[in-house]
Amino acid sequence: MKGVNRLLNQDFMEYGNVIINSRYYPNNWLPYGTISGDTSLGLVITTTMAYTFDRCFEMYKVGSNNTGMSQTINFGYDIAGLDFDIGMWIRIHTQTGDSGIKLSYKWLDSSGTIIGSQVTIDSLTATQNYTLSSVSAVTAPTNAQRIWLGVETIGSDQPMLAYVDSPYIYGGKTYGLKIYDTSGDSSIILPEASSIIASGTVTMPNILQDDGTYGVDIDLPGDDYIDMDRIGVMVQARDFDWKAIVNILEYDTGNKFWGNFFGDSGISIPYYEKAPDGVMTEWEAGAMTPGTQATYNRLINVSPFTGWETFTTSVKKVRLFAGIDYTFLKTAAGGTGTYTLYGRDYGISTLADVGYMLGTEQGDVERYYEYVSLVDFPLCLWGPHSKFDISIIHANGSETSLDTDVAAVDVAQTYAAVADKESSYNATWACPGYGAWVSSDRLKFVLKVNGTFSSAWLSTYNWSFSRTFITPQLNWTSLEATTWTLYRYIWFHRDGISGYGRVRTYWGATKEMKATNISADYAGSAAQQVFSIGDDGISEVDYMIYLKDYDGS
Amino acid sequence: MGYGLKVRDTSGNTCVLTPDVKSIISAGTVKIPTVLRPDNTYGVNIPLPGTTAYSEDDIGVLVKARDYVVGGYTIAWVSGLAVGEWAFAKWLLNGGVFWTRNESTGVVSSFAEAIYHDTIYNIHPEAFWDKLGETTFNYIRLFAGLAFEIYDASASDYLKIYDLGRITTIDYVIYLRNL
Repeated sequence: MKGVNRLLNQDFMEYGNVIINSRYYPNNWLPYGTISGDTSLGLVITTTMAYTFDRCFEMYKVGSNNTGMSQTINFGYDIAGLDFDIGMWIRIHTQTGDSGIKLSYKWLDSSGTIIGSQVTIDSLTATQNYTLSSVSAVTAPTNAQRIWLGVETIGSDQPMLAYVDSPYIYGGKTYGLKIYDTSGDSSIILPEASSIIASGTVTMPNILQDDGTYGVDIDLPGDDYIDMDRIGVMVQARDFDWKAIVNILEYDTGNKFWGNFFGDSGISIPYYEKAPDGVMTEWEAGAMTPGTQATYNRLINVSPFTGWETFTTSVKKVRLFAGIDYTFLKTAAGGTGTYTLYGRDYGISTLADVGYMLGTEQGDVERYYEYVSLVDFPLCLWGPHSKFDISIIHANGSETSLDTDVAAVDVAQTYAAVADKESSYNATWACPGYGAWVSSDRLKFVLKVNGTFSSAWLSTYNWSFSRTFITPQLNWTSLEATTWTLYRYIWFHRDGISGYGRVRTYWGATKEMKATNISADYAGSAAQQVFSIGDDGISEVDYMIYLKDYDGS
Repeated sequence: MGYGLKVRDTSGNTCVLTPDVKSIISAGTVKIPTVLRPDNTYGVNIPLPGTTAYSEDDIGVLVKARDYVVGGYTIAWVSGLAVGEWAFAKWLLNGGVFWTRNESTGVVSSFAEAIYHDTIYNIHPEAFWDKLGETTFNYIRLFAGLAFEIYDASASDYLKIYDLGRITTIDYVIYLRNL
């Protein structure tokens, strides 16, 4: 048993709660030292610099100050006498003078007071590729209950650029269930291990889902939404067919044959383009009209493709996707499209934001958020008022606001005398457009609802809540200036003249949050990636779904 | 089976956990790099638990490409044919960056295409556990690249090369025993 890594978020997969100098910090890690413009440090989500997974922590020293990040593990019991392995992988890309990186640890007691002195694992002042700095089997002193691990810039010279990744603290008490056989071989069952909660073979449908997406949904155990970080899925094509037309040219007086493959415009189940939000749109290959070259869509490659959808941050079902993936040559002109975006029942996350999905198709699963008043404040004296903040989220996590508090609906005291009321409201907003749009940009809507609750004796207080909705990357080239109509659905109930008042906003299905008349430009292309599905694509898949922290339900 | 831990449900279904059972210690989706490692190998590393190495026999890995874009080709029509005969040739992209991979070490080397000579006969995504010539492991290297099966005109031979960076994400699962 080599133990499990005691550090939280050692892979830096969770981020965004702490932002310093516009840089994101991994959750569970905190900065220390001198925070200034001299030291730029934060999470880098790039496979280019990472040692493991796809992100690492960048430390860039451009002044005399020094900064670091640390994490303290609180075991909550005496760890004296227990052995630990501690380490981290460090790459120093650029170094000047005495600048460098220090990795160190401290033993702390139950109140967080240091025991003995801080122990330096390594002070590195020369460039190096990723190298492990570590200590092995260090023994915790008397009264130790916590371990502090820190990595920081050092020296007075600059610049210095370094990357650190894969920190670990192994050891202490072991846990888990060890199973032996009669030969002495053993295995340990750990909470960190995932369980296979679904597997088998499933038939892929010949038609799309009602919302225009495609695939088979596999139920996950329990009724709660499950965090995507706890799920892993493998899907494999089992039975497939592909659709194309061969065009044979005979030469050498009919003794030799030259075959070329083209898109088949005549198949009964068509090819589909797949949008970033999973919505499938029919695409028909050219009809191969003799003399008209543009009607011949040449086949570049074909291969089976299977996967599972990643649009969500939490799910009750896993969507398995499978199709034959074709690349055809076809010059597709750029243009302008008009879109309606719908709030969906499931979540989506970006570098810095988490919200509900904004997709181009209306869903059929209803969700709502309910705000409950203080007890005996059941009257909605003012409101519920509602409005939106509209912004663009860029790939690096930064945000450009298009406007705030737009498309406001002010219902004043309409609800003050009612016990139950629900309605869809809408208002327009003149979107100014955004010419600097790049394909990886997303739209973000924040629906804000507020009002005033009152008791029967007209004692009042103000309340508010908000819900966030985010698109996937939209692959547009520009957002046009048009007038949008923004819809939201508000529900109100009060128990009586005492008790509680309740306000809900709905989205996901016909009680919807949506925005219409969104206009955007898209780029042209020289190739078309499409899929054929079901019996004309992949008719069966084998799959396994893994779940961490499975509760047995 | 005379040993192990038997788990029952209320319906009487059972399973037995034995030392031969492997645990899934890491699974999910991860991005693939756009550049080589300093040692000229390629791929994303997934750490294994602990500080000592695991034997190849105790590890199981499944990987598959999740998102990719096909590119890296050049098309030319063949002129002079009859009406309605639109024959074409499919070559490696002039100026494209392609790599051969040493099966034993995982080291990749650049491949210089012969312009309008190296004909493509298939393009498909590949992803696998790159063992880098090792038999014990502290981490798992996952390789993924868009594979081009070509006819290498200058060598008069068939060859597989890779366009790296066109696969953006992969799904993977890693199993371990003797934890």
